[in-house]
Amino acid sequence: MQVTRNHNRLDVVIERNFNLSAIRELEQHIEDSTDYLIINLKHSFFLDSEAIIFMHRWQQQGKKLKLINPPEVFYEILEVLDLTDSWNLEQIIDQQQER
Amino acid sequence: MEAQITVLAKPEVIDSVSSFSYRWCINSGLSRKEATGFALALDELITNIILFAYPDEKGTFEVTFRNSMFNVEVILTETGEPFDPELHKYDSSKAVREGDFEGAGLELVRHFTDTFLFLNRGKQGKEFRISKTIDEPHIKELKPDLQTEPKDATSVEQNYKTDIFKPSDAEAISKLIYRTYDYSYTKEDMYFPKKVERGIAQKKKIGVITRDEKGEAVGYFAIIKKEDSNIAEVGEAVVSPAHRRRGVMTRMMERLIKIAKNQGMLGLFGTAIASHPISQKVNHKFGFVSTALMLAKSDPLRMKSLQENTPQPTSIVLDFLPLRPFRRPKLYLPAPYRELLRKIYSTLNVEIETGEGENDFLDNESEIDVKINYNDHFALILIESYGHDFEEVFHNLSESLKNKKLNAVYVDLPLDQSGTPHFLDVIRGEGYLFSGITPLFHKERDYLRMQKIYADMDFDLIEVFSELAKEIKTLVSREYHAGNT
Repeated sequence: MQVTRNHNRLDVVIERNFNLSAIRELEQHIEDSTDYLIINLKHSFFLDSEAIIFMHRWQQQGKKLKLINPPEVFYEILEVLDLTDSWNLEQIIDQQQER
Repeated sequence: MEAQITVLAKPEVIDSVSSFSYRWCINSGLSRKEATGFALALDELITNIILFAYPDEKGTFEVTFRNSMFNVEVILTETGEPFDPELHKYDSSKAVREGDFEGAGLELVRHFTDTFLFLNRGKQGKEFRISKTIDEPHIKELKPDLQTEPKDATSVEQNYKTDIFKPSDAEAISKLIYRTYDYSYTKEDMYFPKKVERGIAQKKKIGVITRDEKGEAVGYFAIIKKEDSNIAEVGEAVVSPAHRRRGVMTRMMERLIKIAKNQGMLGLFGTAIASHPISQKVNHKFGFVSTALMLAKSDPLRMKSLQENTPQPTSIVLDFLPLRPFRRPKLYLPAPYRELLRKIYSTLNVEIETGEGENDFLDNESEIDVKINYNDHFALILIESYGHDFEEVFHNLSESLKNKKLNAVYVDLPLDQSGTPHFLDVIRGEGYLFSGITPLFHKERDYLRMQKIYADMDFDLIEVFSELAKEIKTLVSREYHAGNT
């Protein structure tokens, strides 16, 4: 996991799938002052329900989230879990041409 | 094919196991999208095991990867804290409002797999099974203009050429099946050239193709090697209507038996459908002996020519042909079936030495495997050995297989284990009835096959050919009706 800190913002590039193991590692880098999380998923084949739960609760705390290049399956997961309408995807997603 | 790994219950392992699963799925024939979804489902199950079965992250669990020409299956076996997925339903409004995501992972497992089963093995823990069907283009999608051949078609007398088939013959084989049977052939994978090709390339199928003088495929006959024993199923046979009664089938069968003998196989078996005796007659002609009657082995046949389905699940007669002498260990024949079992062995021309049943050599743990055929809707419980936990484990497994949309559950009991006569009572007590013998079926051992049927069966619609098959049918029918009165 590549991590870059910029004041209260944390930029991470997850180099595997975004799951329980990645969350455990990510949590070690989050400080109380961190209120903006940018997660680059260009290396991830998928993210799982633990990742969804983590991001959902992050946003519920009023903190900012940006997802760069989430895998296709991310949108399908949101549909299955009936969360598409409750996530502000226009604000969250940054689809770069890197995948 | 099967691969098995033992995994530490720690989050760090999740990615490695799901990555292996992704490659396993791709190599088995799933698309990248399907393989990703399946790997995600496995990730969810492993996460559940780590979080809930082993909350202190101490312990291990088993992951078994299986594939066939039809599907990919992964089995997770663990002995951690009790957990029943049925009790954890996902509620999206609770998730959005309260951040309560209970059951979310299992919701994704159900979405990204074709089947998700939970089996309780009692003292031996729990099993989670996920599977995904391998989807390939049907021959009619590839060749929309393909027409079926009239049943009364005839051709001029000619010379035929029979050769061992190659992967490149796959499309010709699928076309031949469609031209001959329309959509009514029981082995559905034969309509999918990619599946046929993979089966031949991986040497799961060995056999011959017969062509006419124009080079058109007019006959196909294959044996399918059993993965866990040195025998093979005479599984797939077709001769185009215009070329029947010219000795094409006989020529192919003789060639197949020769191939099997040359490869050192111990025997061949056929599963002839019991709604008519034609296939049974063919097997009998080549020396096969009927050893079992399996009720409801697959869904009702789709007979397009009759514009309707056959009225009940399809039963089959298991026919066996020994190819070379094979010395068995001492066999323990249970008293209720002893006479008939001896007769089957005698007809097979197999000499056996028998012992009296005892059960004083029990292992601590029973060794029991479960194989589920998702395509034909049956399960097989394979007993390798008996342990002190047998009654409890068998009961739990048998109960777990109820309400799983299966037509039948079969049990194979090893005839070389002295516990078989004793534990037969346990198995009959769970509602299982006689089926017959499965010779050399797993690791070159003989088994007594029992069966539990979840469909209503009309025995007047089950037609068997040989005298021995008739005796087997009489016993099966008697036990079936005794259990249903």
